[in-house]
Amino acid sequence: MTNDLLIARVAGERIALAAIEVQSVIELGEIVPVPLAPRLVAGLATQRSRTLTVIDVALALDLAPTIGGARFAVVVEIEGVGYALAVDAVEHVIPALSPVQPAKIKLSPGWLHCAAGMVDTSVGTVLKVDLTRLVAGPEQKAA
Amino acid sequence: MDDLITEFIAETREMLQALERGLVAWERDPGERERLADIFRFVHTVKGNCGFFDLPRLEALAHAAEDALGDVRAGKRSIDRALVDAVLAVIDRIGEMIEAIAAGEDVSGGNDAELIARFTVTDPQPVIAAPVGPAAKPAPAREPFRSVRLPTNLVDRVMSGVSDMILVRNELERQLRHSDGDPALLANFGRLSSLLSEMQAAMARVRMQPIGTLLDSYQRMVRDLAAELGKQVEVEIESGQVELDREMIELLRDPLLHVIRNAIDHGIETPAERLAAGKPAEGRLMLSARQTGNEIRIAILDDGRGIDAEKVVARAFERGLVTAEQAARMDVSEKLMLVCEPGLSTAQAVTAISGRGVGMDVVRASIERTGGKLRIASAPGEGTRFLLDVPLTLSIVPSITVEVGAQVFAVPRSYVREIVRNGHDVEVERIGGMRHVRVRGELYPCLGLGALFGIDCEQDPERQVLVMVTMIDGSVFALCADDIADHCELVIRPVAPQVIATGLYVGVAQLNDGKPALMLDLVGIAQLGGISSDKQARIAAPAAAEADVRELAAVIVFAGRDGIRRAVPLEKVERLIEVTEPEIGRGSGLPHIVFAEAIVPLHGVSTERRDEPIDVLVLSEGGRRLAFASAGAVDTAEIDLATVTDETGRRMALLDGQPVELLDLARLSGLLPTCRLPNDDAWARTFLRPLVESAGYQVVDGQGPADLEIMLEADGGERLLIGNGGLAVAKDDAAALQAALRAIGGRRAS
Repeated sequence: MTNDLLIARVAGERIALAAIEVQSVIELGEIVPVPLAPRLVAGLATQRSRTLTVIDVALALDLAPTIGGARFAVVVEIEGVGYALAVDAVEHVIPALSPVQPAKIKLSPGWLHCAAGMVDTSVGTVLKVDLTRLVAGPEQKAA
Repeated sequence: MDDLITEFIAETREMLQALERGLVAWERDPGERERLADIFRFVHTVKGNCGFFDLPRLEALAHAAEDALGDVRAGKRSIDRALVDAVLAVIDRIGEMIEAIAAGEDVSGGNDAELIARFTVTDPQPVIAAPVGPAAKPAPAREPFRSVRLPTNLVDRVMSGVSDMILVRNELERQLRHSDGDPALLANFGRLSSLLSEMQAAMARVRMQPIGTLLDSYQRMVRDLAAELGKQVEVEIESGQVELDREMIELLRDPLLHVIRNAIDHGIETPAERLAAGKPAEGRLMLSARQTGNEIRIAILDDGRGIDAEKVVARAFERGLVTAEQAARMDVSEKLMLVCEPGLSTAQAVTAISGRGVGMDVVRASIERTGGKLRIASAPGEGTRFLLDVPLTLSIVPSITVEVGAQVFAVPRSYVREIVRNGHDVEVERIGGMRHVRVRGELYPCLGLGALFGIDCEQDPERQVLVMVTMIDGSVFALCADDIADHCELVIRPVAPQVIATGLYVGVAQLNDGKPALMLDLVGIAQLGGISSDKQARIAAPAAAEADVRELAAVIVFAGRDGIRRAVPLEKVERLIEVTEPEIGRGSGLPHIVFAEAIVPLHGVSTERRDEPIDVLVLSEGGRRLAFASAGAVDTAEIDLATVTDETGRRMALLDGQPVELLDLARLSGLLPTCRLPNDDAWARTFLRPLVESAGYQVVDGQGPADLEIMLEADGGERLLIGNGGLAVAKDDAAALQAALRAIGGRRAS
C-alpha cells in the first residue's frame, strides 16, 4: 500500500519512513569512513556492486547515538544517490491509520528539522521523517 | 517485415553518421576518390535496400545520385559545384525521410522531381530517370558497422550484474584458496574468472562513447550555417581518444550546439570584415576535447571579433542586472560571464540563427547540471574561447590506489608523475613549518594523507611511499601513503553531495574485493594541506591574456642576522640546521661550518660571537654548498618573478608589497671567478660552458657583474673575445681557449 510505513528504532525512539521510498533493509557490514565528511556521514557501505552513503540517523536527528552503533540500514535513493540510513532496528511495515499531520508536540531541534509530521499507526503515534532533510543534516547554526 | 525496416533505418542512420565527416571533406576536394566511393556506396546501399520495401521515393532519389556519381567514377562526367550540392541535398533528403519512416509517417506523398532534376542541369546528357531494376554492379562493400540501440537502464542493469558476478567470483576465489581443490575444478574456475574479467572490461566501455562522434556531428551544421550567413569557416576537430558517458554526451549536445552557433553567428566575421581587419577571409573554429585529470575539457575556440567585456557590462547595467559598484569590482572574466545572465543578449540584433529561444543562461545551466563549469575568455578582435569542464562521472579512470592505515584511496594516474619509495635518495625535512621531501636534490612539499585525514597509520616517513603529484599549474607535491595497493582502471561513480561538499573527493569506485574506495580530489587535498594552487586562475587565462599570468617562484624567506629580509629559491635549500658558536670555524677567511663531513663556508654572520645557537640554512648551488645564517623566522612564500629587479645592484623582489633581497647564490657560492657567456647561444651553452667550468670558472647568467666576459665576435662570430683585454681565439680552438683561460686565471691569482 502506498501509505504503508516502515517503523524503525533509533536511539530509543520510533521513527516512521514511507515504505514506498524504501528499497531494502540491509544488515550493515564493513563501513569505510569518509575522512573530514560531515559527522552524520558514517561512511560508505556496499550493497553488492552499489556504493551507499551511510547516514547515522541518530546523529542526523541530533539524538544520542546508541552504544555499539547501528547494525541495520534502510536503503533509500534520494536524487539519484543511494543512502543507507543506519538505525538500531527495523520493526515492522504497517499501514498509516491517519494522514500525516503537523506535529503538535514540542520537538527537539534535530527533529524539528527532519520531521515531516505525525502519523497514527497500530503501534501508536509516530513521527515521520522527511528523507531529503534528514540526509542533508542539521542546519548550520549561525555562528 | 517490421524488424527488417527497423534494421534498415538503423543501418541507414549509422551510415549517415559515418558519412557526416566525409561529406565536408569531400566538398572541399570533390575529386577525392575514396570519399567519392564512400558516398557512392551509401546511395547504392540505400537504393539496393529500397528494393525490399515499398519506398519508391527513396529509391528514385538514391538512384539518381548513384547514377551521377557512377558517371563521375567512370570518368564520364566531371564534378562541379552544382553536382556536389545536389548530392548533399539528396543525402539530407534521405536522412529526413528515414527519420520520418522511423516516426511511422507516410512518406509516399511528396515530390522529389525538382531535386532529381538538379542532377541534369549542368549535364549535357540527361540522366535517365530512375528505372526500377537491380543494382548495376554491387560495389565491393566493406562490412557495415552494425549497432543496436538499447535503453540505458538495461545497460546499467547488465553492468551491475557483471559487477556483482565479479564480487562473487572474488569471494569464491578466496574460498577455493583455502581448500585443497581438485586441479580440474581450479582450472575451470580460472577460465570462468578470466572470461568474467574480459566481460567486465567490455561492459565498462559499453556506456562510453568517443566524444569525437559528437564533435564531428557539428561539422555539417557549421558548413550550412556559414553558407547561410555568407561566411567562410574552417572547422578543426581535435578529440583524441577522449571517451565520455553516453548520457553526458546527450546532455552536452544542445549546449555545445548553441555555443557553436553563437561562434559562427556573432563571433566569426564576414570575409570582407575579416580581410579589412587583416585576418584571413576564412574564419577558424576549433573544437577540442581533452581529459585533464578528473575532468573533460571541451574548448570551442573561434578567431572572430571577440566579446567586448565593457559592452557586456554596460548592457548588464542598462538592464539593471548589476550595480555600478558591482561592475567596478568585476574582473574581465566575471564581466564576460554576464553574457550568461538571463535577459542579456550581446548581439545587437537577434538573428534567426541564434534567436532560437535558448540563451547562454540555458547553456550555462545545462552545463552546471552535469556538474560542469563554463568559462569564457575573449580578446576583442582576436576571438573567443568557451571552456566547458565536465566531470568524468561514471567514467573509467586509470588510477593508482594507495593504502593509508586500513583504508584505500584512489588517485587518478594522470596526476601522478612518479612513485618514490623512501630510500637513500629521499630525505624528509621540516622547512618553514612544513614537511618537505628532497628527491634527487629537488625539494617538494609533502602531505601525509594519514595526518590530513586523522587516520592512524605508519608515522615514520622513511617507511612510507611518496606519490609525486603534478598539478595542472605544473607544481609538484608529494603525497605520503603507507603503500601502493594497485594500478587499475576504476569506474568512478558520483558520491553523495555531502561527501562532494568536502571538496576532497571526486567520486567513489569499487575495488576488486568489493570495498569502496574514494577517489581524491587532488586540488582540494593540496588546498587542505596548505599548498596553494592557483589552478583555476591559470586555466581561465586565455592565450591572449597569458602575459598577465604571474610567474611565481617558491622561495624560503628569512631575516638575516643583519635584519635584512632575504629570499632564496626553495629548491636551493638543502637543510635548516642549528649551530652553536663552537661549531663555527673562524679564521682569516670566511667563517665555516662542518656539514655532511665537508667544510661549508658560512655567510651572513658577523665577527661578533654569540652564546645562543643560530639557525643556518644550508644551500646548494651548482653542486656546491654554502651556508647562510638566519635570525630565525623562516617561512615559505611565493614571489612574483615580474617584480624582480637588478636596479639597485642587488637582486630584489617584492613580497606582499615589501622588498626582499634575493640571495645571489652564484656570487656567494665560493671564491670561484665568475664568467658570462654569450646569451642565448646554444653553442655556448653546450660546448663553451663545460670548457669554461673545467677551467675553474663559475658561469653566471643575466646582467649581474662577472669577473670575466666571453663574447662572440660581432661580425661573423668566428672568434671569441675573452675579457676586455682584446684577447681573441678561434671559436673552434679548444686548446687555445683553455690556455687563454689559464693565463687569465694565473694573472688573477698573483
